[in-house]
Amino acid sequence: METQIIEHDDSVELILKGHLDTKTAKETEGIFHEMGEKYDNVTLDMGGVSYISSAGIRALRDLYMTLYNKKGTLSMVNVGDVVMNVLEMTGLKGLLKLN
Amino acid sequence: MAKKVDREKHKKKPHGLERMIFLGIFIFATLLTYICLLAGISQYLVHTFDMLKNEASHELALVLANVDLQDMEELFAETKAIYEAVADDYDIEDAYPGGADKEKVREYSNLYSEVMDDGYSKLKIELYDCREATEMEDIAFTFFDEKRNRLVCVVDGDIAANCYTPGQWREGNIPTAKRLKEIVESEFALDIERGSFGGWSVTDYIPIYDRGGELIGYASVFWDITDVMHRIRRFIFIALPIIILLVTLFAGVISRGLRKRLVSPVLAISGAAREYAAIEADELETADSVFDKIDIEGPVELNELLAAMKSMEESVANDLRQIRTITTVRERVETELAVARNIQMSLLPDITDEISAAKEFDLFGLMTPAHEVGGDFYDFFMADDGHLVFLVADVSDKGAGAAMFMAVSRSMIRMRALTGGSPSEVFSDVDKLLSEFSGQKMFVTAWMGMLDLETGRLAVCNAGHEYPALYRKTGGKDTDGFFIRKQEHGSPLAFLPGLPFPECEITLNKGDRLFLFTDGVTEAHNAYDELFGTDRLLEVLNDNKDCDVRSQALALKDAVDEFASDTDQFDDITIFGLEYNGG
Repeated sequence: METQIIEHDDSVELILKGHLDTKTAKETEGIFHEMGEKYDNVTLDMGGVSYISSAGIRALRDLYMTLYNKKGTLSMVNVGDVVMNVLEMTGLKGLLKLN
Repeated sequence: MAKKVDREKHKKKPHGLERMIFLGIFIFATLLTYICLLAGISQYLVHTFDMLKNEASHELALVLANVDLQDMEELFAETKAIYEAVADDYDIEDAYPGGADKEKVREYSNLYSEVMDDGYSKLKIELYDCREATEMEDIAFTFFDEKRNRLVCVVDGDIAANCYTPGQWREGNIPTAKRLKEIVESEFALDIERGSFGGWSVTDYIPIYDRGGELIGYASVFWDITDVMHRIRRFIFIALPIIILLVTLFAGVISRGLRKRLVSPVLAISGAAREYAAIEADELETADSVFDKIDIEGPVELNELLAAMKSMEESVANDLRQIRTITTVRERVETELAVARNIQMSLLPDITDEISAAKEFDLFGLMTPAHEVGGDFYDFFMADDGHLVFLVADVSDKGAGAAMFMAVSRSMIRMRALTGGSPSEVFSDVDKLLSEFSGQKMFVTAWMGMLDLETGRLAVCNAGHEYPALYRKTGGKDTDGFFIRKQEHGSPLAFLPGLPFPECEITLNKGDRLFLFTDGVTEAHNAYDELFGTDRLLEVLNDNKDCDVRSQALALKDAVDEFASDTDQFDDITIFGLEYNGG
């Protein structure tokens, strides 16, 4: 899992690449936590993500909750079919700003 | 004990290192001594020859100072003239003092009678005096007949009966022009000959020039050096045994010293290592140190080796203690996990008499965790006389934590469902309860159905779980086989607060079948990283739709196992099948 961080004034864009699974989720979770504390608006570029396990979903859920609690927004761009399917099944799809 | 064994081996076996050192020193020292000996002898010979040549030059200068040079030049010239005239008429037998035919010898000698005048006599006397006054064997004035390879005498310093007269010559053993040049130019080179009498002789050739600087001949100076050679031989005969004796003693002392300082310590260490290797594995921890017992007086490196062996021994003992601790812990964890596994398996429902007695349906469920325990489960029970509840769920993790969460989820769902209410109401309540409990932020995907046995009406609530596979036996377009039945669904339990759990309905007719499963089935993968997938799942179900649900579920499980046979099981696998037999 590779994460590229592009920080703007009041928002941050994270470009993710690889599998978001049990092995990589812990590290990604750390980055999500840090960015979620720092910014109100977070955009995830999911173009490079080919798989999300339940551990990955948990990381996304936690980031969403962090932002939700301070009235921020979690956005996603370039969401592929596999990831979209997961978002749909978990109900996250309706809660995110998708482009 | 160890040392005793060493010493016995020591006696029987040749000690490699010691022998190698002995031979090495012996050969090296012997070679070195021989080289020195040869160098000494040649230096001695060079020095001797140098002295002889100096003496010869010096004496010749004295002789030449005392003679009339004009007489000498004439003597050379006349002798050469006569020689040139008659040289081809006589052979060596006639022209050297020891010739057999005395008449012929005299006849040849007489050809030169006219050159033997006063000047000749005076020169001969000078040469004789010179010869007598020095160590020389002889000194003679000569010239080379290179064409015939002869050394021709002009005046011989000898006066004995076998001395050379003018014009007499000797053949053979005449130095080549190159060698002659070397002898003339060098400070010590001499012509060395092994005489027929068994002795050694050397000859120097000193050029003689006329007053005009023209080379007219050579003073041939001859020494007998047999004594010198004998002295050298005697020296070698005495020196050699002494050298060999000394070298042997030297090599012996050194190698013996090395045995004490090197070989014995090495053997002591290797003996201890052997003893260490013989200790039984389970005694290694407690056995006394074998390396501590040895005490060596070796060089620093061997002490370093011994120290390394001691620390190895210590670390092996430490590692073993650690391994034992780890093993104990692992055994305990394994035992506990086995108990946990039994408990988890007992949480999965048995087919009770009540269930099997029901004519309206057949069902079968199985769960295989990826580890000892897992987060998947299925459940079924009668909510009341007319309603069967069944569900499949998947905790968002694997292993012991997930298993505990599974146990809690399973109990909450069952207890809540038994108090009555629709699947949607059950999930909404359990979602709230689990959210409060979910310390590890786990969540559960679950699919629950409540079947009205009489009507076949199935109330469904899907909390973020895989869609089921449905088979219609009769009626309409869906009878071709199993298909994935997609319907509206909610989010997983304990995922996010306040989300709805929409309820749907499926009506089952006689012979319809419904299969529930977890992602351990569809996401099972093989060595090529291919997923088992929905298509394979449907294919296997269709291939086995004529069997009962039990056999069908087992066939699906077998297909997954075979597909992923070359990889470790990645996720918990759960399959649940139900056939509705009508009200």
